[in-house]
Amino acid sequence: MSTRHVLDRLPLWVEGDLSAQEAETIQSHLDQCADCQAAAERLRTSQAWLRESLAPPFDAVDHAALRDAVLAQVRSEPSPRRIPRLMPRTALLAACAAALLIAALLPLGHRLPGPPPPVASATPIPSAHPLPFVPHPVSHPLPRAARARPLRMARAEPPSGPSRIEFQTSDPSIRIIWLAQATPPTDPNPSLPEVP
Amino acid sequence: MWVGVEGLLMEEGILPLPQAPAADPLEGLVRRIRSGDTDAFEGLMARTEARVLSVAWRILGDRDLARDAAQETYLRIFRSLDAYRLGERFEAWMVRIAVNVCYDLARKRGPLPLPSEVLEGLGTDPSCHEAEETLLLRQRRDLVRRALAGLPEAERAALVLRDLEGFSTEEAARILGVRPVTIRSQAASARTKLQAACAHLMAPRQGGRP
Repeated sequence: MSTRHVLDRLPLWVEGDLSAQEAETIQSHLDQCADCQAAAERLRTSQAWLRESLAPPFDAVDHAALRDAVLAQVRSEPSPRRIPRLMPRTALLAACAAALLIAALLPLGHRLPGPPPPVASATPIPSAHPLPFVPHPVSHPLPRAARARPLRMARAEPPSGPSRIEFQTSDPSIRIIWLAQATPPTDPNPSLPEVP
Repeated sequence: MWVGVEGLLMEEGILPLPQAPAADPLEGLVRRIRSGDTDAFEGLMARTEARVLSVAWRILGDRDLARDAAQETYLRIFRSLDAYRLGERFEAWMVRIAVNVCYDLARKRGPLPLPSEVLEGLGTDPSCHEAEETLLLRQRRDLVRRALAGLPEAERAALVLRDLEGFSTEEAARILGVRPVTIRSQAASARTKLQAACAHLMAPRQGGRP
């Protein structure tokens, strides 16, 4: 390793910014080269002077004054607010939960009386399968924010393929579409529940 | 703030949040402050104010400016605490804010003032008041501070964070928003310049640069 190369690397070597292997190579050279050793010593000295000269001049009084000034202002401000969400979180989670519930119960092919849940409604595509039921949310009440304007559901021919379930959340820009495959119906003439 | 489904599930408590490093003692205080505990902010200050003042003074070179910078730093921390991501070392995040505040203050107030002590003591007859050793010590300190104040902003920040504040190259890079290789290069350049500025106070030696 040349003297010029070592001298170039000394500012990195002095604070441990070289790899272990390169640092060892530098050290080996320093052990044999008086000029480079002197240059390294000057660097070490200036670094020591840096630390000695830049000891912060603040004491406990300064710290207390800073704390008092900041706290006086902080206590007059409201607590840090959460960053507002981009989409309604509860509505989205409620819609996902409703989708999973409907998908889990779909193969049973049951129809429940009563009004559909406020957030979920189904628009079946023509197929041979019965329309998916819309469970009443008795045990899983949905928050008010999750309710949405219902979609009117018209009577249709018995579905012949996958069912399409659409969830319209309270946010008009968010609609969840679920495609589900239902089991063949036993009742050849299923009647459709009215969606209020 | 978390994004995506994973973030939603974390915030609903269904998925665990990623944990901050076990050694980060400030995370508990941060959580309390986020939940509205203003007294916890005082505890946070007590544990970090020395660091904030130190960084500000070493970058700005002036006590009053450093105090202003420290005050503004804490106000920004309080107002934007929700932007802090658990898992990141809080002190690094805090210092990043402090450095940005220092840069803003430096831009508003113009070129950094020469350290005031430089104008005192130079040329003083050592036989009058102080022992020669004490005077040399003072001149050395003034020279170093002037050399630091004369560095480009980026080199000064790299030198302060690496050699004075003790941050690793990687952390200093994250704080300053540059690559680690840039930090190494800037710090090395700053050390070379500092050593050159101090050369005339050092005992004459034979040999090459630096």
